Amino acid sequence: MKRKPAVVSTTVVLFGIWLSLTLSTDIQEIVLGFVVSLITAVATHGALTGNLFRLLTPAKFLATIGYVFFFLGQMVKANIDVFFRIFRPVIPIKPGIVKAKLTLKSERAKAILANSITLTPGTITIDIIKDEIFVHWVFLPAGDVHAETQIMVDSFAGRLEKIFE
Amino acid sequence: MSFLDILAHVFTGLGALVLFASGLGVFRMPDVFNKMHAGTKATTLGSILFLLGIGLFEPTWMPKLLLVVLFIVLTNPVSSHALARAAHNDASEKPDNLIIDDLADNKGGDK
Repeated sequence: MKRKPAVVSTTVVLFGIWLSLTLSTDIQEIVLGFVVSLITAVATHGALTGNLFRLLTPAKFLATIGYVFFFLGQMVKANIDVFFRIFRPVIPIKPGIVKAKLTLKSERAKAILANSITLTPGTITIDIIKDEIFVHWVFLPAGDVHAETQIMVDSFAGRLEKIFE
Repeated sequence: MSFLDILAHVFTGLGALVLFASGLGVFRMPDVFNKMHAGTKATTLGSILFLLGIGLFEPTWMPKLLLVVLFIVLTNPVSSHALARAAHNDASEKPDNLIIDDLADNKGGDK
């Protein structure tokens, strides 16, 4: 069975969700939760998580932890940015939609990249068409906007590449 | 009042403040895409801080609340993408203050 690791890791994740939602040590609840998780994982061929065990090499694990903290830092910065922008008497905006090239192959990585860009300072993702990502800036960066956007996208894509490829 | 309680008050207070900023941002920003900036980033962090604050008040709820936080982080940007794309496809919603619009150029090229 080719999808076995994906099915197992989906079962583990679903079972973890079950345990934290029920918070019960009753044996009946635990067994039922495990069975339901297994059935769901097998029926969906592990589509929820894919093969999470690939992340268990030290380099990829560290890259994942690093990405989470990088992302949280960016998100706090984004909120401080929004906060100080909207309390100004005149909101400083200079909006524009700029495209950038995507080098990531994995669809999952692309989705995470788009979500990350939306939650980080001054940018939201509008669309991905083939290998181009369209980003809306609330305040366009100074200088060459295309080069600056590419640098911003690559700062995420480079980190994601270490995790997914 | 224990240290944990004080921390919980700080977290819920900050969360409420960020959520307020988000609401004000949606009200004050001039066009649909800029409204989305305030409506996505600030609601996400605001909800996270608020939920963590509640988790500090009631530590036994923490696992469930962390799960809620995870789902908010995963789903909030997705709804924002859907809205932004829809707004961009609808010509009547198009703001006229865009300095550069590569997406419209791209669509124009396809036709």
